[in-house]
Amino acid sequence: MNVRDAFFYALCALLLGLAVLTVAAGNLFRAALALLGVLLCTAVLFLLLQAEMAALAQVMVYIGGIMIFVLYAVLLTSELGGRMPAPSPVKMLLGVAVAAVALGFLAGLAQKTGAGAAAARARMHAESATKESAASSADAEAGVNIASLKTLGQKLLDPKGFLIPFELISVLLLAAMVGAIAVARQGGAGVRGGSEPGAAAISVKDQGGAGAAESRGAPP
Amino acid sequence: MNLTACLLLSAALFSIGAYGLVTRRNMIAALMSLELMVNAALINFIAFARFGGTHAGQGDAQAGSLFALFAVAVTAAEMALALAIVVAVHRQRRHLDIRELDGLHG
Amino acid sequence: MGSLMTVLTNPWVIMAIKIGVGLGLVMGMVPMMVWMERKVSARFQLRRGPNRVGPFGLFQLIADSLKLLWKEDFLPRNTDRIIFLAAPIMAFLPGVLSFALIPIGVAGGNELLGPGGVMAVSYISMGLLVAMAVSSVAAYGIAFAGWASNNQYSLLGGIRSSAQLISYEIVMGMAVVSLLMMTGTLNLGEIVQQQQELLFGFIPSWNIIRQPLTFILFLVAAFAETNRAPFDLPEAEQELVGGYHTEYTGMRYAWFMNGEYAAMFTMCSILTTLFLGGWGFPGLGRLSGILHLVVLGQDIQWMLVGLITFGAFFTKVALLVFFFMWVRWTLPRFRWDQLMKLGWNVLIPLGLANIIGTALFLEYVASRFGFGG
Repeated sequence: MNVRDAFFYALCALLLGLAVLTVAAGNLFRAALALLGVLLCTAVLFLLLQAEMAALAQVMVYIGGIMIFVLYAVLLTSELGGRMPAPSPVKMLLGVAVAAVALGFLAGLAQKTGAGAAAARARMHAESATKESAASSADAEAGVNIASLKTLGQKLLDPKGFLIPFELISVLLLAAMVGAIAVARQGGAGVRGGSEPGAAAISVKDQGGAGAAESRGAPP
Repeated sequence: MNLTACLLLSAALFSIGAYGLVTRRNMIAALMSLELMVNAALINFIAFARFGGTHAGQGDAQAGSLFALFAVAVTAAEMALALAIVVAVHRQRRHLDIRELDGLHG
Repeated sequence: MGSLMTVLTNPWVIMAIKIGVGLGLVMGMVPMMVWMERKVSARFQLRRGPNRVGPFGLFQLIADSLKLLWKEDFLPRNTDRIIFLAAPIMAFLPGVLSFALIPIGVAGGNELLGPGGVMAVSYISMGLLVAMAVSSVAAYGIAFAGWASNNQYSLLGGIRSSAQLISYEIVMGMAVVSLLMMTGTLNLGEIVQQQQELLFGFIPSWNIIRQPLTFILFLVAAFAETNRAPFDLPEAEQELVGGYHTEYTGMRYAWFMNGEYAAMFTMCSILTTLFLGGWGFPGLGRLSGILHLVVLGQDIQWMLVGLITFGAFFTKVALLVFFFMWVRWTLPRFRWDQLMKLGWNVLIPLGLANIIGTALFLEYVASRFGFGG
C-alpha cells in the first residue's frame, strides 16, 4: 500500500463519517456543515482520480453556490442551536433496512463490475502488448485519461459529442431560474398580505432574512 | 485505489443518503440526504472515467467529466427550485415537516 | 555541504520553502497595509496619522497587535461554539490560498525553483479557474460569523455579505469569460507572458488596454468581493454597529481584519496579473539583454532578473492597493438596494454585452488584422 492508497482510504473514511453526520446530526446547521465537508472530500477525491475540471465544478457550483443557499434556507427556517426530533425507532429500523438493501445490492454490483473492468483492462493490455511495446501503450493511456480543458470544451460543442445536452442544460437552467423566482415571489406576497395568523409573530431573525431574500429575489 | 474501491465508496454513500431520506422529517434535511445520493452518482461517473468499465479497458475521461458537469448543473437547478419552495412553504406554514405537508391529499 | 544541497533540492523541501515564503509575504504585507491605510486616510482627512511609535509611526502595528492580544476574549451566550470559533479562520483562509497561484516574477534558469520559468508557489495550468473557485468559498467565513454571533446586526451583516458576494461573483465570472476569449488560456503565467508584447511598437499590450471594459467590471467586482468601501455594507458601522464582527474581540477580531487585508492584497495581485502585465514592463527584454552584457555569471543574472521582475510586480500591486484606499476614503458607501441594482441591472448586462462584443471583435476585427487571441 503506497502513500496514495493510504490517502485514498483515509479520505474515504472521512467522507463516510461526514456523510453519517449529515443524516444523523440533530442540529440542521451542523448537518449542513457536515454535507459541506462531504462535498469538499468528494472534490479532493476527484483530484485524486485526475478529474480536475469536475473537482473545480464541484467546488464552484456545489460549495460556492448550492451550499450557500442551503445554509441560507437553514438559517431562515431554524433557530440557533435548535434540535430536530430524533426519528422514531420504527422509522430508524426502516431506514436501516432500506440502506442495507441498497448497500448489499450496490456492493455486489460493484464487486462484479470491478472484476469485469479489471478483466477488460487485462485483455486490452494483452492486445496492445502484442501490437506495440508496453511503454508506448502506457503513454497512450496517460494521454487519453487526462481531460484537458481544451478537449473538454471541444467535446462540449461538438455536434457528435455533447452539444445537444449542453444546449438543453441552458434551457433547463433558465426554466429553473424563472420557476424559482416565481415561487419566491408568491411566498413574499403571502407575507406582505399578512393573511397568515402567525405572521405577526415573525422573529427578528426571520425579518432580516425575508428582507434580504426579497431584495435578492427582485430581479431586473 | 481501484474501480472496486471507488464503487464501494459510492455505494456506501448512496445507502447513507437513502437512510437519511427515509428517516428525516425536515424538508431541508431530506434534500441534503438527496445531495449525498447525487454525490455518490458523481463519484461513479468519475471513477468509470478514470478506470474504464467492463467493455473498454480504458475510461473516457472527457465523457466522464462532462457527464459529471451536466449532473452538477442539473442538481444546481433542482436545488434552486427546491430551496425556493422550502422558503415559500416555511413562510406560509411556519414549519417544514414533510408529514404535515398534505395539502395535495384531497 | 553536499548533503545540505540534497536536502534543499528535495521537491518537498522546496515546496515547503515556497509555501513559507508565500505565506510570509502575505502575512508580512497585512500589517504594512494597515499602517498604510491609516497614513493614507490621515492624509485624505488632513491629519498626520500614526507618528509617535517608531519612525513614521511604523511600530504602531506592533503596539496595535499587542493591544489586541491583551483584550478580553469574549464568547457570546447561546452561540454555536465551533462555528463561532471557526468563522475567523474561514474568513482569513481564501484570501491567502489564492495568492499561491499568482506568478510573482521570472525564475528562469532553475527548473526546480520555477517550473516553466515562473516564480509562483503553485504553478498550475488551470490557475485562474482555481482562483475563482477559492474566491467562491469566501462567503462562508462572514456568513458563519454572522449566524453564530446570535446577534441581529451580525446576522444582517452576514446575509448582506453573502448576497453581495454571490451577486458580484457573477459579474467577476463574466469579466473573466471575456478575458479568456482573448487569452485562450487559464494559465496565469501564460496570461502574463502574452501581455509582454507591444501593440503598434510602443504600447504595452496589457489587458487593461486590450479590454478596458473588462478591467472596469473586474475592478468593481473586486471591490465588492473584498468588502471594501464603497461596498463595505456587511460591516456598515453606522447601520449595523460592526456588522458580522460585532461580537468578536481581541485576536479573533484581528483575524477578520487580517483576512480583509490579505484578500485585498491577493485581489490586487490577481488584477495585476490579469490586466496590468504581471511582472513585466516595457523594456524588460532590453534590460535583461544589458544585464547579460554587464553582469558575469548566469546565476547572478537570473537572480537579478527575478528581483527586478518581482519588484515590478510588487510596485504595481502597491499602486493598486493605494488605489483601493483612495477609493475607500473618497467615495461614500452605497445603499443596500443601490448595491443590488448596480450589480444586477447595470454590471451583469454590461458583462453580457462585453462578452458578445469581445466575441464579435475577435471574429470580425482581430482575425482580419491579425492581433488579439
